[in-house]
Amino acid sequence: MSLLAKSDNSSSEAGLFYSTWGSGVMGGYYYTNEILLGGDFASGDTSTESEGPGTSIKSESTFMTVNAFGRYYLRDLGITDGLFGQAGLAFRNWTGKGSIIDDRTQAKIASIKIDWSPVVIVTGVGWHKVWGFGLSFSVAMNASIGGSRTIEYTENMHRLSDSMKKDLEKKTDYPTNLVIYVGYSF
Amino acid sequence: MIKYIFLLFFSIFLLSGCGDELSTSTTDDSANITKSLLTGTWTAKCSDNTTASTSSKTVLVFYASGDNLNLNATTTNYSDESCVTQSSVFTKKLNTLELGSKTTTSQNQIINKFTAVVTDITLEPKTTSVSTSLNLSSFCGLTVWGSGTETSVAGLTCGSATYKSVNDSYFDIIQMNSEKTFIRLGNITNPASTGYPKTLYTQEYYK
Repeated sequence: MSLLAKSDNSSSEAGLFYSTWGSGVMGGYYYTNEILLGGDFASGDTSTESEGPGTSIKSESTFMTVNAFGRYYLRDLGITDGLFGQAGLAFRNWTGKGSIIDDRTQAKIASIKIDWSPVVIVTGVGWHKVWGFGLSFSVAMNASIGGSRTIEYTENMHRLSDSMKKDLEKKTDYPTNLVIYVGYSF
Repeated sequence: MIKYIFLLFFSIFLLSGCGDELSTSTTDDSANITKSLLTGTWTAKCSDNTTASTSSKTVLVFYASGDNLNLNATTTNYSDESCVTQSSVFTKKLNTLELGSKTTTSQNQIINKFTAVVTDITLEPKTTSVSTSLNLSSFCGLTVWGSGTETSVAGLTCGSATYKSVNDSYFDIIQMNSEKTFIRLGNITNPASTGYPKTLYTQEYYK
């Protein structure tokens, strides 16, 4: 017995998801048995605070993403009926900032500001299952393509070393997005 | 078959890990230290030595004399832990202070080097008991210590410290925070082969 969306004549679905880029809501409409047109909204933030030798390092980032996508289901692969590939456009409002503060004087030692480009292409693959009573579950891995990121370093009392910059650049790169979705198909 | 290719296409996209193209910029927002910025009185907080039950406080006075910038660095030592009862005053007098360009220490602290000429280095006992003690130990090889009398120790070895002579060149480093509210000087007990201190003291002087 097929457990896929169209097997019970469902034409739409909606639900909640948790992802690397934040948590949010997702909805979709089955244009055909193989094609789903969907959209989602996610928001999230991260903040970190750590101690260095005589310094405090604080950072915070906020992510808001609206994503519109088309999804193609590989219905007749044989191994499973819920594999899909998807592609779409994500509209991002992502910002990040951080500072290094001298503990003794509270003077600013250095700071950073990160901006991400507002629009990127997002592609991905995943697996989706819909049970007969309407419960819908999917897991997907997406990747962004064509975006840009700008990091502005400001040095107040310290020169930031190349290794510190590389480390930060690595930590603030989010090229992939793991999405775990639970919803209802109707 | 087309569907397999379709899946493969997206998988390759994912594995390529394109991510966001990165561009970076670095702005130097550190203070540009000038003679006019330095001119004035900069005072450190009272620094206590709980082991010896003493304390000290240093005041830096930068002042102009003609086209020159001079510096009097006065450290007052106290016989208590709260900078109340003076025991002695140590003063370093420098003139013709010249600021070098901005550079960094080995710890990446943004600093300016500066040079000056030693005018005098003096020690003044503030109580009779201190002057008596200094005379008894022939401190700096001298037995002329008197309470309230400033005596030059330039060029002398006093305890573990040997002081520069009058007219010697003096090398130091200075850091100012970008809000220009405090400065730090170099740890002159830790000089590099160039004569300049390698590191900064952690003590701040506020204007």
